[in-house]
Amino acid sequence: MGKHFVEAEELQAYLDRELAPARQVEVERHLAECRECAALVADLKRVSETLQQWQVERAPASLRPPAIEAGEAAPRWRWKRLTLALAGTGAVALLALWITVPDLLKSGLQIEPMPEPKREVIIMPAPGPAASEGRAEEQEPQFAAGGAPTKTPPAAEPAPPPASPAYESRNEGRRSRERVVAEEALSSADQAAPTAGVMADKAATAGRMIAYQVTMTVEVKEFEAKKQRLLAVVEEAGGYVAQAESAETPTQPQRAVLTVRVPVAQLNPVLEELRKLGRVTREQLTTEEVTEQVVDLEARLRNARASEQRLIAVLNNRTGKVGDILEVEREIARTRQGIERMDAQRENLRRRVELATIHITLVEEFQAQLQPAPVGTRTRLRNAFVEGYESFIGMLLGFVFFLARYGLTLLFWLGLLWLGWRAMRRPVLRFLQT
Amino acid sequence: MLAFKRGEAPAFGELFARYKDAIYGYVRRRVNDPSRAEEITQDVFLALVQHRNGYEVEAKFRIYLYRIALNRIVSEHRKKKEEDPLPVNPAAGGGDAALVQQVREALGRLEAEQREIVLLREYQGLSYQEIAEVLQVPLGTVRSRLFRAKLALRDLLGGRPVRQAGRPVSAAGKSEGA
Ligand SMILES: [Zn+2]
Repeated sequence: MGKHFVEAEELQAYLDRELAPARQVEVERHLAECRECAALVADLKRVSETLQQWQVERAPASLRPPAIEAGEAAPRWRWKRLTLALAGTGAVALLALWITVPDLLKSGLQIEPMPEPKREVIIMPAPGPAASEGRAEEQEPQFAAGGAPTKTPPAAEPAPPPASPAYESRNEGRRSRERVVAEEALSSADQAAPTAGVMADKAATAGRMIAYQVTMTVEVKEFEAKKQRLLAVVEEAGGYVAQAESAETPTQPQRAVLTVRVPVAQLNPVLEELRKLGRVTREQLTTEEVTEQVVDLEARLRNARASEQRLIAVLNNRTGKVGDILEVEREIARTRQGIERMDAQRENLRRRVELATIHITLVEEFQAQLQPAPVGTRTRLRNAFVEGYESFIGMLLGFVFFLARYGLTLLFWLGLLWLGWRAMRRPVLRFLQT
Repeated sequence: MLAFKRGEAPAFGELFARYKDAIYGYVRRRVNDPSRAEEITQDVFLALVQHRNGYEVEAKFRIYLYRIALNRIVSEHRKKKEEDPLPVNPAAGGGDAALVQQVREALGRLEAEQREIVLLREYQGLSYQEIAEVLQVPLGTVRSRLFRAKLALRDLLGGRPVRQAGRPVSAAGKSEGA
């Protein structure tokens, strides 16, 4: 059977001119040689011819193109349906309201006065020996000891979980924006020791290196004074300002965005001080585990140093040709460059572990609360916007609460209505059509 | 086509003139009652006007047209609860009446999936690609189903089955030696 290199299916496709042109030619050539395939093609062709015997009359003259306007009529028809559906939904909603409103009014009293915002604190302590709590305060991160290789090889301990915020807290308050406060984590641990510090120590004991980063926004009243205070706090703690930007436009509240670095042991005292500056509207701590990066870097550094030594040894032996020696020298230069780069990276990582980063935004407190006396139209407008925004958020929250409370009930009624609509739709549509 | 999409009546009139016989024929082969076939055809073009934003080029337009027509035919059959989608009474039209009847019966005995393809290919002259899009099946499926349908029709129409040595060909499946 190997002699037919044409698939039978292809013969029909050939008749229909549905083969690729080249294939079409090939099949044609095969048909000239192969009687069996040619016979099959003839059969298929005859079937088509027979089918053509069945002809039907042409479209009757009475068939007229539908007017384009007739096409436009359809949306109106659909509108009818839509109106009907909307009316139905409205009716159900009313019904649901009628049923649930008494309840809602009762519960509204419970919703309205929001109690002191409850904070949800999720503490995810770094896994590792818990024995070291609060003790190893002064312990240095391991690799800070003069670049000595890490004592614990990474394989010796289970892989640490991916770096994640050590803890985060959410605030469900109505007025407050995002507020994530580090102190909560510790207040539960009733300890004076700095949170981050403790955690860093734990990490160090477990051979883990963690970079801490805090992002916070503080609203302050006396902007300039508080900014100076901030700088002083940072300096006292042995930190420094890495970056500072401030924006000042006459109609806008003043604003300064600073990035400061403080020794990790000082992170919590510093945060305490910064919180005293004004109203903290946002505070978030993130941690990043850099152990693996450091270990990897150390290993690569060791390798690079070893190959540098080997290359120097080769150079000292001076057995090769001049060209080879030049090549070796170039190689040494390249290796040294790599070593320097990796050294810089390691230094950078070390600093990130030793010094916590704080991104702090100081915002002048909003004028709505500042100047009660001569209020300009602009300020009033802005205040109106603020109020509008807050009440909008309030409304949204109210809606969410409403849904949470009554969503299921509503769903039930809507479902019922939908079933009714489905059952009624055909008769109603027919009625409308006539 | 674009003029039609902009809603101009003359352009639509032209498309209607070009396709009305084809669509009527397509419907007519499936619906016994000529006046019902006319209504359905009218319906198809009406739907086309209403959905004129659903297709951009004429190639797509044809597919669209046949998809609508197919849907209408299927729902017509569903409404009438007809088992056999092909009308049995001899319809008006040329040809040998007995042979025509034989053709219709043969088509009626095909599997529905195969029959759709045969009708679109043999009477409407759609390309395999167009058929694939109208019926929403892969191109290769169109090709193989059409081939098998043609083989089945050959046997149903009483044509002498050519089964020569070394080339076993059956309507049941593709038993092709490579
Ligand atoms: Zn052959």
